[in-house]
Parts: sequence; structure tokens; C-alpha cells
Amino acid sequence: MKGPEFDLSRPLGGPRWGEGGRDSRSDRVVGEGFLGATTHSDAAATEIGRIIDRFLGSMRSAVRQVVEALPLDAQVLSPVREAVRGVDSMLATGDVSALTGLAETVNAAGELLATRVTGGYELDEFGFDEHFYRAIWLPLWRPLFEHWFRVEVIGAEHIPADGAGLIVSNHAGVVPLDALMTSVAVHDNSGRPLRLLAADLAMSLPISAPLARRAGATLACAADAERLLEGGHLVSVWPEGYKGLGKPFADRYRLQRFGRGGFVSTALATGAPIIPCSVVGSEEIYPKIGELTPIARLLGLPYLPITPTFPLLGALGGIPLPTKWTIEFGKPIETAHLGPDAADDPMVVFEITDQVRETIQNTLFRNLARRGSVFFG
Amino acid sequence: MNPVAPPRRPARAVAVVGGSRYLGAHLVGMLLRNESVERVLAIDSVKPSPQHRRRMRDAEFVRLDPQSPRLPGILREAGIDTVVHAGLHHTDFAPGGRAAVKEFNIMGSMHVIAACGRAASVTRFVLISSATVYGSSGADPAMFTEDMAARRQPSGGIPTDHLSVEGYVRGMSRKRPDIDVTILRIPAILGLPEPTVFGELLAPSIAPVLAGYDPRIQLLHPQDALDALLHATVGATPGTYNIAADGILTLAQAIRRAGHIPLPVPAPAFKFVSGLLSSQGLRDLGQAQLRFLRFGRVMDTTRMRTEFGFTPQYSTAEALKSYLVDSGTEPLVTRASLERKTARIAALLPGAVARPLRAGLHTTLDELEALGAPTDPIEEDAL
Repeated sequence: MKGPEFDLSRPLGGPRWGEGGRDSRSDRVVGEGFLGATTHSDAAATEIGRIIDRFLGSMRSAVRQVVEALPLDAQVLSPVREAVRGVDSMLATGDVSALTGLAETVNAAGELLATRVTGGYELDEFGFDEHFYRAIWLPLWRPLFEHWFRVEVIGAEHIPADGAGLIVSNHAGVVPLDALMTSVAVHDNSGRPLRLLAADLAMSLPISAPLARRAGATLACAADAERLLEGGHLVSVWPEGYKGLGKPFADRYRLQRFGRGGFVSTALATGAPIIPCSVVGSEEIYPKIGELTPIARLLGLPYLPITPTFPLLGALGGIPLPTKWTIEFGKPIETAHLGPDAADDPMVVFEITDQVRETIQNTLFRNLARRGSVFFG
Repeated sequence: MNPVAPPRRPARAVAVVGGSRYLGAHLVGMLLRNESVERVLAIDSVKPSPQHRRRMRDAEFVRLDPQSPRLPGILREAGIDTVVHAGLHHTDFAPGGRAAVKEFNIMGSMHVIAACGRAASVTRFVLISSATVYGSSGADPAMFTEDMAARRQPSGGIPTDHLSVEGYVRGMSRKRPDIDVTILRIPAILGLPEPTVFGELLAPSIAPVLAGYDPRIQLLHPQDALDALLHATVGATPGTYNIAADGILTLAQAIRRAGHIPLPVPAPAFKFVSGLLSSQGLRDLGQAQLRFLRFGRVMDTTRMRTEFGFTPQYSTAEALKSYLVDSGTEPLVTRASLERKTARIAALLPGAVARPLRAGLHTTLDELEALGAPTDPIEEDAL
């Protein structure tokens, strides 16, 4: 009996590379595509090259701008220069009175230090330390506000001059720098301290926990929010929470779910106006392109971001990109006329939640359209 | 929780369980001065100290273990209408340690509560519980109201004791709705014979604190604690109340106000470092205390003012100050302490070096005083 015939002169499994029976794919000579017509992949490569070029160019000018904008400008240096001039003229004339400016500065610093060292400051029940807030906390962030992010504030007249108010804002940037910048914006435009409603992680981690309380933050829960609003404070909340803060770079400026509208119920219950606040610029400071989920889970963190510079450059990756920020406060949405009973009406709550969300989203899009460049505004 | 009760008769015959201890003994003394009270019975398993005995004057003292079966009979025979349970231990430092404290807190209280449930004459019950029932965690609201529960259930120690005893009291009140039950939740009281963690941390010149944490703390002056207790005993609206002074301090701030320096110590080394101070209050730091040293705790006292009708005389800052004055805690930098320390160093040095050192100290101190810097900050504006 004859079995199937095998042609043993040909190798098994089809033609060998370079000999007969060519299929359409292997029809092309290597490198041919680059000589002949441009394929899709080539166009993409060229585009990528152009993007990198453009990015490097913008980074170069960004660095130049940052150097120019460093807080080492004439205004900041003026006390130093004056002190030097004072010492100079004292040495020249022997007149000690030239040093009064210097003495005042030293005195003020000494007084600040003495208050901190002797515990002579007052706290409210939340642990807010106004002395610390005005003398240390805000001055710490102001250089970042003025010179790094060059924040432009629009609609500052909408911040209530007195009485309770609930500022609702979009949340982004991996690290909640937007909360700090909003604090500076509110304080410098209305003179009022902003009381933040913070995530429980911020209120439990070492260093962050006492610092957050000292700087006026408290836990984002209905009880605390109501207590603050009833006390007539200016409160701010970020209803997106971690979903907004830790969203990937690709989702920038897309508002996430606004929780269950708990902030609206609280505002309704206390009759406080809601001030929508839209922050443009915060979403690009740490472009999150990935996550280190296992390590984050190990450390008990909600996420551990991968950005182009972190963890690649280590601590250097912690430097936020110097984007140009715009913070716009919208027209207050009054809630007092609806009465405290409306807080239990889900339809009213949903309606106002959507209204606030849409206002913020539209303002974001408007300010984005207005913005020419991420870094220069 | 606070039903509108029919008009309450003022207390006439009061039994104070835990009458040998500070709060109990002082309450007995105050009740004797109150004209509406006819009879005061102090019950405790140990004899009062002579000091407390003086406070109790001619009150009847029954030395009795609360677990004794004679308790219901005594309550009945004396015609007691109000029982004050001031015998809960708030620290683990009684003789016998944690085991004895737990036995007394849980078993003793169960017997007292059972005896009250059986005695038909009893119409009012007052329990001194503590703020520890609210626990301590990072997820805590800024202030606890009476109807909030701990965010993280306490896992043992004094907080669990107090939580269970409150539960037993509520159980009794369900079975005997005619008994008006008042539960007072009090924060740490400084200046009591029992040492507290907070009080002990105020004593050393360099006090260890948990690195990276600064708990918020609320206090209650002993006098205010007694006044609130008396108010609850002689006829305030029954219910559960937070009793605490106004205002808060943080631990580091309090240490600074005492003129001392807070030394941040990482959590794993904290027990060891605080053990080096070898003070009683820091010897057996439990999980609950360590958590308290992280997050602290503040109670809302609105209901104390409105429903209970009591306003403390001392704020938290004033309570701290009066404790610092009473306990003789000395700031690190005062004329006296500097002189003493310099003298000690100078004694070790040859005379030629010691003399300029001493002279230098005096010149510095005089110059400081001429500038107006107070060298005796606490004594100077003492209460």
C-alpha cells in the first residue's frame, strides 16, 4: 500500500526565506517603503518627530520663562538690597538709625518665632491655627502661586465677603496643589481663610494630618461641613475626590462623577450659597500616564502615579510642570430660598448638582479655548 | 434619648459608688452641703485616704465590694433614690493593673447596675463614662456629638470597658424605664491622683511626642467635673452628655505652654522612649492611648449647655494653666531652673571657670529682664 507522497526535497512547513512561493507580504524589498511612496507608519513617525521637536522647543522656552519668573525678581530682592544699603550707609556715616528697617524685620521674625515656641497661638475646635495660616502656611505657597503657576484669578468678586459659602471645584493634578492655590487665591482676594474639606487619607497620614488641621482643613464628612457652614466659614470641597485627582492625563478637564451630591445637601441644609470654581492648569502639572498599583496597594495609597518624570527622576519628578493657571469663580448659586427641607429632596439635590457640574465644565472649556499654550497661557 | 419626663423629685438619699476615690469623695462632700439631700452613702471596696475622709465629713461610708450580694439590700434598707456610679476606672494604674481594673470596671459595674435594677426605690442613675468611647482615628469628625459612634471601634482596654458599661446601663434603663439615666462622658481630667498620659507628658522638660502627629486635646478642670456631676445628681435632665471645657489645645502646644520642648519620636520607638521617663502614666501605653496620641479627640458640648444646663468655669487653656501651677511643673527656662542647672555644672568645674560662668548667667538673665522677656512665664500671670 502506498502512503501519501512526500516531496522530501522541499522543506516542511512552507517555503524557506528567500526562495520560491513568495507571498504578498514578503514581496517587498527591505527599505523599499522609505524610497518609494510614504506609508501610514512613516507619516506617524514623522509626526512623532515633529511633536518631540515642538515639545522640546516649548520646554526650552518654558525653562527660559521659568528662569525669568523665578522669585528672584527685583521685588523679592528689595528687602535684601535695602538691608545691604542700610548696613552700607551705617558704615559710611556711623548713623545707626539706617538699620531700623533691618531691626524691624528681625523683630517681626523674632515675634513670630516666640509665638510658635511658647505655644501662644489659639486654635479653633477644628484645630485651625490662624496665626500659622497667615504667617507661615500662605507665605509658603505664595511663590508657587505667583511665580511658578502665575495664577490668574477671574471672578474674585463672587467670593462672599462675609457669611458662609461653599466653593465647589474641579480636582486634578495627582497632588492636591489646586486646593492650596485656591486657598491662596481666596485669601489674597477676599482676606478670608478657606476651610478645606479633605480626604480621610490626608487626615490620617503622619505630618499631613496635623498640618492639614492646622491649615484649616477638616474631614470631608457631612457633620464637619455643616458645622463649618453654620459657623459662617468659607468652605471648599472637591466632589470628584480621588477619581478626579488621580485621573489619567488623557482624561484631563473631563469632570468625573460628582459623588452623591452630598455637598449640595449640606449647602441646602445650611442655606449657604454654592460658588462653582474652575481651575485650568492644574491638570497638566503631573501628567499621569500610568499607575504602580501593587506598590500603591502595599502603601495603602489610592494610587501611585507614573509621570514622564516620576519615578524615573526620583525626587526631581516631584517638581510640578510650570503650567499657566486660571482660577475662575462663578456666580454664586443661592440655596437659602429653597429651605433646609430641600436637602432631603433627591430631585432638588440632583438638579443643583448637575447645574454646578455643568457650570464648572463649561467654564473649563471656555478657559481652555481661551488658553493658547499650556505653559504661557 | 431625653424623653420629657414627669416632674422629677430632687434627690434625697444618694449612694455614691466609688466613694473613696477623688470624684466620689468630693461629690459626697458637696452633696452633704446640699439641703435637698438628706442622706449620703459612700460605697467603695477600699477605705478613703485621710484626705478624702476629711472631704466626706460625716457621710456614712460602707466598705463593700460592689460585687457583694449585700448591695441590693443596702440600697433598699437605706431607701436610696439616686445612685451615682463614680467608680469606673479611667486608667489602668490601680493596684493589680489591667486585669484588676477590668474586673472592677466590668464585673463591679454589672453588679451595681443589677442591684439598681432590683431596688424599687432607685429612680435616678448617674454614670461617669469617658470620651474614650468615641475612639480615635483619622476618619473622625472634628467634633463628636452624643449620638455619634466611634469610627473605629476601640479594640480593648479602658474604651471597651466604658463602652460595655454604657451598654449595660442602657439595658437596665430599658427594663426599668422609671429610672432616669444620665451618662456623662468626660475627657482627661488633669490634677487627679490617677496619672493620665497627657499629664505625664507635661512633666518632663523634653517630652516625647509621636513624630508627624499632633493630637487635638480637650480638658476638663476637676472643679468643673465635680460641678457637672453634682448637677446631674441633684436633678438635671437625664440623658447622655459630653462634658468638656471650651476650646482645644494640641499636645505640642500644651507642652510648649508648659515651657517644655516636644521631642518627636517615631512610633516604633515611642514606648521605649516614654518608658525612659519612668513615669507611671506612660508605663503601659495601650493601642487606644497610642491612637489618641496620634489623632486626639474633641467632643461637641452643645447639648451640655442647652439640655443639661451646665457651663464649665474653666476653658481648656485655663484648666491646663491651673494644672501647671498646681503641679509645680517648671518651665525649662526660668531664672531658678537655670541657676540650679548652672550651679550643678559649676560645682564640677574648677573655680576659675565656674565663677565667670555664674557671672555670665546673671548678666544674661538681668539683660533679658531689662528687655522685658519674662523669665518666669507661668508663675508671673498665675491664676
